Amino acid sequence: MRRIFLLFLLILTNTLSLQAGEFIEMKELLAKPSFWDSKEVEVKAEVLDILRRKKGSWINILDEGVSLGVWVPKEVGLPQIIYLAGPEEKGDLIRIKGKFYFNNPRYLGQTMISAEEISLVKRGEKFSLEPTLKKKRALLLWAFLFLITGVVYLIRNLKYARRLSKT
Amino acid sequence: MIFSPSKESISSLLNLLGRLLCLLGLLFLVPAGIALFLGEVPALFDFLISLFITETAGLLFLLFFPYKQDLDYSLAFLLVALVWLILPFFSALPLWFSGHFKSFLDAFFDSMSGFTTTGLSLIRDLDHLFYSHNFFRHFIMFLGGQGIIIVALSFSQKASSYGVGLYVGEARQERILPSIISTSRFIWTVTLVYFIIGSLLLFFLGLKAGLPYKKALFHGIFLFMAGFDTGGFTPQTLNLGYYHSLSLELATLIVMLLGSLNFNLHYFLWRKNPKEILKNIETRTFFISFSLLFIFLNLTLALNSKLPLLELFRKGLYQILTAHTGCGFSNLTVSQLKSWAEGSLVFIIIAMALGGGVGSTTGGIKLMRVGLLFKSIVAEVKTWIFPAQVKMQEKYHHLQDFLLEDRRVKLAFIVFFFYLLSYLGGAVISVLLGYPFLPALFESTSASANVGLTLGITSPQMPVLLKLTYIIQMWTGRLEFISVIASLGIIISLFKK
Repeated sequence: MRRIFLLFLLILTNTLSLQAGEFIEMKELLAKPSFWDSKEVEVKAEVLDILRRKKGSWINILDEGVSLGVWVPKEVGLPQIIYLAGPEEKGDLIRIKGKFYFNNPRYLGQTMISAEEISLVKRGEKFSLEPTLKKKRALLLWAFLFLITGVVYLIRNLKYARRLSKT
Repeated sequence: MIFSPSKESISSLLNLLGRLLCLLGLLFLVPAGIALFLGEVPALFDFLISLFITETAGLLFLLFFPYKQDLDYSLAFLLVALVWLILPFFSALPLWFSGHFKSFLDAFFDSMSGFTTTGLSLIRDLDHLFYSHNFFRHFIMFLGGQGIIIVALSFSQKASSYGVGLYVGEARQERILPSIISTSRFIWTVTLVYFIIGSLLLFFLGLKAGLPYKKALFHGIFLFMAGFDTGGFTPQTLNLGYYHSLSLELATLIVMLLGSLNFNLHYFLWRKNPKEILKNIETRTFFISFSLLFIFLNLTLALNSKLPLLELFRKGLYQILTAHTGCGFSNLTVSQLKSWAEGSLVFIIIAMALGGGVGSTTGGIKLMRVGLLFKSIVAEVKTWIFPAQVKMQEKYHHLQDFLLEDRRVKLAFIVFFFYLLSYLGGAVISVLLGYPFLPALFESTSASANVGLTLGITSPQMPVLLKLTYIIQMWTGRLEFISVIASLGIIISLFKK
């Protein structure tokens, strides 16, 4: 009896944790698109861009090298997005709940998510990329080598020109 | 007897190579200027280091190998083959320094892909790349599409005897104007006019799609460079899907179609007789092959999927045109393309294999050759049908009327044969490495015909041997094998000496 009760508890907690919202990796979505087609999904991803349109916005998102478009109708509120992904910006991390479509006929047959809920998970950040010390040294070294070779080449050409003018 | 070059000509060849390296070094100033303007300091360092390395290498070539005599016609082929290997090597430097590549080989792969206007890419985390690095990827595609030699010849003040060899060696059979230099400059004039109009159009459509000003401007320029030179690199991982815009898709279609036209046809459109486009063998071949492939692709798509008609039309049209023009842009994700029936993929492979116009920026067998081979088959069949006494002479129109000569058909067949060999060879290597045949053939054809569409085989994780195979395919495919085979002959002769 105790075993059955424990098993029941185990199954229940597992089911509850699923309902609490399990994020699906975007890689997984695109690896088995037919399976996930027209199903409710929940993903967590970095914001690449927001393209505002009349009836809503397209948000392009990125998760581990996989990118996807999300349609957010006007009635679904957008959280305040400050940082978009860029060379020196980590974009805001958002959670999107919505329906995944492999070929959505309403939107040019795109693979996309039609958002029902969006929230901010973590604010992105701006960072400044500085050239590494190694790069600074390499620049100096190669600039020096270029200078030396250039000077040698110029001297040789001048000598050659002088020789030509004498003859 | 095999032609064997003298030491003096080899020295001159390496001297010219040095000059081209110096020119490439100077061209690094363009992305460096953009990096400086945008305040992308690490990228600026990458370009400056690459500039100094390339200039030093170029000067060393000039110092150690003086120019002693003009090159022979055949040595010009070796120079072209070497230039198309060495310039991508040095152009891989800033890409490698960017830190977005797993290995230097991957950076070299992308650089070769850029120069040969292929569009296959091994870059990681593209969406976080600096604008200047991204500009550089598209810039090398632009230079490669126009032709490195065309770039160099445009800067020349006087014609040289080997200029024609260089021009032909770079897979351009036709001159537009009497001299090679004026032809090169005409090609640049046409390109610059289209560049201004095309980039502005794409910029406005980007704005309309919702992009901010800076991004719309850069993406407009990037998409034009990659589209007109039928390259296919895109600034974002999502490819054209990033913009969610039908008008932008249509604009890129126009840009890639213009890029796939023979520059001679542009000349006729601009200065002579626009009706030429209706009579030309290349445009006619394109119209027939495109129509047939489009119909068959849509039929297979309709039979194998439940897509609505409009969607079928849009996807089918874009894929066939992007494959046929050798551009490689896509409005589908890799998963969507993979989900297509094998029959549909076969038609895309055929479109990629055929390619665009001779003397354009596309790759593949090319329409002129396809047209000539088709006409020769028709001529042959006619000889079977009609009595032996009836003598028939087949003609074709390309800027003027020509008789269908055996020599031209033979040349077309040789190139056709080498392309076929390359498409199948690459596929066999991929199969031996464990990939299924059809995707392997798709990817191999894409690399060899310099298209850039992918079914996902091309990735940083693919085996080194396959990366090398695709690099060789892109290189030989861009030069239409002639320069590479001629160069091999010259190298063998050097060892036999």
